[in-house]
Amino acid sequence: MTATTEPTATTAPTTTPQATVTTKTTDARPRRRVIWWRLVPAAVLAVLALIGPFITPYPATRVSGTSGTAPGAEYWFGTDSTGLDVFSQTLAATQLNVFIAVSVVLLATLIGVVLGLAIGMNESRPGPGGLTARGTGRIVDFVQAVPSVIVGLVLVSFFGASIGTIVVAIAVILAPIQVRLVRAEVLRVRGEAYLDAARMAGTSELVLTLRHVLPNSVRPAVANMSVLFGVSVILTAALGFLGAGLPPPTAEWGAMIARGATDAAVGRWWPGAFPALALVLAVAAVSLAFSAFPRAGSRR
Amino acid sequence: MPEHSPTTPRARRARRTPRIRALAALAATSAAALLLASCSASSDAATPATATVIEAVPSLPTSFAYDDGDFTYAGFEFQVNTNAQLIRNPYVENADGDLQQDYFSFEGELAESYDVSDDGLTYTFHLREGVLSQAGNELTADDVLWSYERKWNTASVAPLLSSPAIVDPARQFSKIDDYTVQITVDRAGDGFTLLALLANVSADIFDSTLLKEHESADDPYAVAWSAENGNYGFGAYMLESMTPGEELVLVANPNYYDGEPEVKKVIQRVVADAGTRTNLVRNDDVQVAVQLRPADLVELEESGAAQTFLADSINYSTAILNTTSGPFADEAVRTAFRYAMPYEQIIEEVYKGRAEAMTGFINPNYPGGTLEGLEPGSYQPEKAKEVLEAAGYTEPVPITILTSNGVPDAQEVAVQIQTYAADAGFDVSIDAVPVATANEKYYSKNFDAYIQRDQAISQSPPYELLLSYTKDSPLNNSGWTSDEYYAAVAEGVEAGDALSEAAGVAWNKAQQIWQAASPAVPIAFIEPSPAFSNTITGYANRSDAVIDFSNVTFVE
Amino acid sequence: MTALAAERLTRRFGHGRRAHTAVDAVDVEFPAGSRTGIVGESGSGKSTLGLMLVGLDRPNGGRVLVDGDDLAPRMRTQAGRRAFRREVQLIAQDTSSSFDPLRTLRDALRTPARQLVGLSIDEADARIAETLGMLGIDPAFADRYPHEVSGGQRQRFAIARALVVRPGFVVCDEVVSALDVSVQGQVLNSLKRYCAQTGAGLAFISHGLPATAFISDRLVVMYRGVVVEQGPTERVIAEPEHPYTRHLLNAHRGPGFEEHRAEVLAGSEPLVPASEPSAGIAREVTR
Repeated sequence: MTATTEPTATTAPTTTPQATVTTKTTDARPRRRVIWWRLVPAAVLAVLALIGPFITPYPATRVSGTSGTAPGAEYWFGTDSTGLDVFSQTLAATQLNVFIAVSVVLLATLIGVVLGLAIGMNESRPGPGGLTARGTGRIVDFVQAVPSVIVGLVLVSFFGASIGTIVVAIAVILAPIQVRLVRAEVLRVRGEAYLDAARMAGTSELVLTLRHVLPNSVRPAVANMSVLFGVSVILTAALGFLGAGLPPPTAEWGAMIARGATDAAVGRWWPGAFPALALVLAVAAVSLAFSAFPRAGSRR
Repeated sequence: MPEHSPTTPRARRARRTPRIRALAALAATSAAALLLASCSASSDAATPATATVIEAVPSLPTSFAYDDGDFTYAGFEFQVNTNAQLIRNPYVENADGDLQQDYFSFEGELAESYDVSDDGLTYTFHLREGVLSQAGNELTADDVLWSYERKWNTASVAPLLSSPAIVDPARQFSKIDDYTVQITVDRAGDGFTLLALLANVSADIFDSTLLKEHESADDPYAVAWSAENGNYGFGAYMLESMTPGEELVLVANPNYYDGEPEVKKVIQRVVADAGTRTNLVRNDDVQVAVQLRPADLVELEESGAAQTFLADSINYSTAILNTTSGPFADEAVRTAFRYAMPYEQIIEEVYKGRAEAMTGFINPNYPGGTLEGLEPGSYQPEKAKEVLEAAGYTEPVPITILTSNGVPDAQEVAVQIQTYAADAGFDVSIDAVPVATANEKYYSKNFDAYIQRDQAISQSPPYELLLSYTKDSPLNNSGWTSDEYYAAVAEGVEAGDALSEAAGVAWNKAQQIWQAASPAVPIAFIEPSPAFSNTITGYANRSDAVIDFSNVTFVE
Repeated sequence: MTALAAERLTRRFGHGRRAHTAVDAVDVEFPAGSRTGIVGESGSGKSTLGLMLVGLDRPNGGRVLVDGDDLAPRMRTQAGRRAFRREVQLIAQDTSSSFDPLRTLRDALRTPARQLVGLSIDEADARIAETLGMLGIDPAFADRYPHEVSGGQRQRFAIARALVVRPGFVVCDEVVSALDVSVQGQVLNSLKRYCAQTGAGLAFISHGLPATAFISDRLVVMYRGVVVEQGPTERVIAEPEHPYTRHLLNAHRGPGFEEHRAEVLAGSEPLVPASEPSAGIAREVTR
């Protein structure tokens, strides 16, 4: 009864009932599968972002036809109130909108991870470290409480409306959301047993934070990136609405939607509807791409 | 976002679907919202009571006193309807069957009639007797003199506009008796300008009795009081109430010298979006909609859903050029730009034909006037490039066009210029900014070209010619001055009768000097932009472009 | 071979009137090569004592002695900490977060091997294979992720993680409490074998008396932060001196404790621990 099993590699699996794991394969090594087809729309989006401006049937920023033409054979998406081809504009805008949105999301998430980690790890410490961490947390809360467009307007009016300023401004607006998500995860992870195990293994606190806390804290923020993608496009448009956007007639979905709203009121739906559709499809493609990857700790 | 990943495949599938479903819902909602917006907008207007007209406007006045400086459309409309002047331009029918002001003759308003001395230097106005103000005080010569004393002793812009016809009311205006006022001019040729000024909004006559009651040490002429309160004049309507940003209500003035107008109540509703304003008037949810877009006006007219109007409009779209610095400091560049402007394309594409080509920049219909020697605006890209090359420009000239969100169609005009001027040797960028920013840049001459909608409310040749080009005037935003030009205008004034042929020759000479220098490139006269529902009539095109509600009647 | 000792070790949580003394001036010796069981119910302070012994928690009073020297100064430097941890390791109860979910089990085992012992990757892998063999685990499982193995496997990997550096002293905290009875037996035997082979000392913290008695040659009984009895296992079980110890044994007693213990280890259900001791015993224990 107390006979122990002989510690040989070949016999152990058969004599320890708990050793078997219900996987679908007979391999000992389980596979982590990426669902490839889900990446296709985002890949198409990326391709359009790269080559879009070069394959437009008409120039995207030059008058090419009678203004207010309905969609038809000559202008697939019709023309807007200035006579620009809506299809060419929508296609060309992909590059700018995707670039701004991707930059914003990466920057906001980077800030979110750095600040979220720093605040979450330090806020309950006594002394100046904890004070700094809690103070930073309050500043982040403040930025989030100010209406986003105001923050954007102030930054853009200070530094001028260029792509760089707009990216930074919107990233600043959205970063607090990511900070909050990361910080919440950090607080959870701090209590996990494997951190003590890492300390037992001689890992220093800093390395522990970067190697164990960081990767385990970013998942909600990373998942949120697809939502922030759409939000950043809308904020770009909001800035354009208020005269703090890029100069017309720069092809940008948000400005097109803003201009198209007045047309829609009188029945000319196409200048605003197509960029809106493009926006929705882009957000959906990005979100779908995120779901293609298996989550850590999932069965796939 | 879900925190934990369930380990059963079914749970995972159930979680994937809601996310895609949510996105589908978002797409559907956006599409539905846009479609709903494209259907006719419902309005929350109550059915108007009898004799009420509802007007859809983009904004309301920020102040009730012209002397306080509200020079917006909303400000002018308020002044025109609640105040009155000594004389006015009569309404006549034009070739298209619509009413417009006759700028070349005057009829009495608060004054019954006026005489001119033989030497043309003295104008005597006979006031109507027994005319009561909105507050019930009788109109006398004291009101006229006090009104001009106020204009000259406050921050009012009236003195700037009235010079040189009126320079010193203390000297030029005199009370002969309670109902007789005499006004002198220094040159007979300024007489027509004097009349034009007196017929328009800068010459409002105030109820001095009422305003004197509200004077104070800080506000000696009650300008601030009148800016906040209104109802200090002799106009056809009175202010009943205002909810800032939403609604303003005018009611007929029972004391109006001409009797109460037929429209007893005017409700101005703020509807910021031009497309929505169009829909409202189309459905008769409002009876008047102003500042509509050309494409929408054309559609209303073609469908017969509402009335639109044509006139010899003096409101024009123009590109003001900064002659003091930047690329347009060089006259050759300005000349080239004159040939790089796509006039026809703008008239067709932006204004859908509701615009008229211009030759020169003043009213082309002045009696005695002539357009000899002036080039009509025409797009000649090759010629533009030649001019630039001859002046030493080998690369496309980079210019920035400033547009204000408050100037209708300015952005559309700028985009047309950008496309077509590219073939004429220019590399155009557009700087589209909100009103406040645009004004700041424009007045501080921090621009290359500015798209403006311009008009001279007082229609008189020397006035029009000098309004934007007087040396050191805050209205001279191009910064252009020319002694030759001023001399030509003075010559015209010396001719005595501004509408004579002799004067016309001088005006023409001045315009030729102007065109050679091209401090501005006028694009086209723009047809009126209001629409009336089919239940009312009585639109008259005015130099200030506002609606005179005392002229509006209901269709039976 | 490392000896540990707790000298008047105290740990308090909170302050003022709300203060709770989890460990109250505890004196226990863990001679080199000895196997000591620490039993008590939940709240007895045994886990807190264990954390202090391995330097994961700092005492409010008293000190931990490692081979007779105060632990505290060694914990102040990275080098000191690593040297200590190479000698003294903790194995905690398995939970779903015992291992970093984003890293393989092999990775978790390599870390102490490389950081504390300075092995290269290949050397570490060899050591890992050796250790897993000792514990009867198929090395192929090492390339899996923590959620891809069962609780029992994971607990054995946790043990492997501690033993991979060949420590001179191992503190186990409830390492078999959540395991099936048959697996319990295997794990206990592996630990016993390791200690026998290397001469390492063991502190076995548990609320389950049978398993603790099986593996320990000395027993320490704790109640509400205080050591109420300690002595050789056989003596404590046969002749408990303290009422609480008797109470604890009563709860586990069956037809004959030795036989029952054997049945437990052979695969029948483990007995449920005692209910709250009577008030009388509680009064006797409180100081």
